[in-house]
Amino acid sequence: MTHSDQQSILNLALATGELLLTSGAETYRVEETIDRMCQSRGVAGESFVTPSVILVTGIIDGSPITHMKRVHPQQIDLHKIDEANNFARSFTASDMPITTAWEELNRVANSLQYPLPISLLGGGLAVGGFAVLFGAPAGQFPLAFLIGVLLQLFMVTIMPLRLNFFLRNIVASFVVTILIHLLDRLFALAINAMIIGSIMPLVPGVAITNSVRDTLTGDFLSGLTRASEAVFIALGIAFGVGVGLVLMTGVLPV
Amino acid sequence: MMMTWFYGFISTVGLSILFNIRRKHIVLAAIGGGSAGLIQQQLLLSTDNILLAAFVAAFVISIYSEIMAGIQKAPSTTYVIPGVLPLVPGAGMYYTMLYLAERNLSQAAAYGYQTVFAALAIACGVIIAPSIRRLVRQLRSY
Repeated sequence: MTHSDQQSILNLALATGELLLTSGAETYRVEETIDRMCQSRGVAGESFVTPSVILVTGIIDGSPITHMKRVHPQQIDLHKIDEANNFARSFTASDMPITTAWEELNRVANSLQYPLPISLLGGGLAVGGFAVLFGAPAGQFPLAFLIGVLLQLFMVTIMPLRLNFFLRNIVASFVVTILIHLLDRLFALAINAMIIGSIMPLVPGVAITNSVRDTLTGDFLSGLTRASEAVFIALGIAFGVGVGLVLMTGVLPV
Repeated sequence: MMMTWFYGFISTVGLSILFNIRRKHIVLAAIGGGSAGLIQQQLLLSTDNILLAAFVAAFVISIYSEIMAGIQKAPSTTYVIPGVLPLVPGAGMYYTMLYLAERNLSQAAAYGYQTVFAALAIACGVIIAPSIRRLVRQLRSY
């Protein structure tokens, strides 16, 4: 295998790893995928992955070459993780040529998200379901559904602003608290259940789960990173809700 | 009881859409989410122990996810992440803030403590199933 062939395998493995990581895959999955993809083509490689950086070293013509890739987390996309995983499996199990592999990987990277109306429906169902689950009367499901749709619409609208995750959670939970208190003056809602239902889609369940799974596989650095992410998401939501409550109920905290 | 399961199911369907899970996985993921919510609620009613309820529900859902992932040949995250979310103590977080806003510090502390430990209990519950899977894989390769 020529020098540039080995290079491009390293690049391909790195790109696959980056796709997995930005979609929210666990650290061990990313490392394993990169290593296996390199090994399947006879490139001795090793990788080190954290939520913000991927390092891959391959031994090419006897000398080690290292790639470093800074990664910025994007939206959780479990479909992409699934597809990228399948792609890596079929790449390692066959002798797929590199060009085909790149085409395949690009197809996975550009695979579609649900269109806006469906994602609004998703937001509505999530908030509606959780609101009732947390004690709102079933008759208020439609209103909670509407709030969920509005919240999701709001999240999509502020996406181009590229707010960091902390600010985004503060703003979203603040807005939703205010909105529910205002709606309450018209419809007499089960306020607490409604607000809890609305913050459930924001809550850091993914960060907690991934943090634990990373720690379990010995990736302590990633585990800690994600644990601190979870803490700060929770703080952001609590802060947003807190400020909203103080404004709407007119009491100042201690 | 059926209603708890049903609304848990519905909200997990919603979350699955937000996480861009494809149709063939959504129903299975939502069955997990609904069941997790129901298990947690029933345990909470019968034992009045928030930590136990969160732990057992998270444990069941992670086992379920590993099995489904094996059958469906999909990463187990596809099922764990939406399944565990109904357990996350959003309510505890909210009441902590509510009581803080009302200057009721002792209630705020009580809820804050519950929230943190429920999150830890979920974390402990989720950790076990993948550990077992690894163990099984290693035993097989002997």
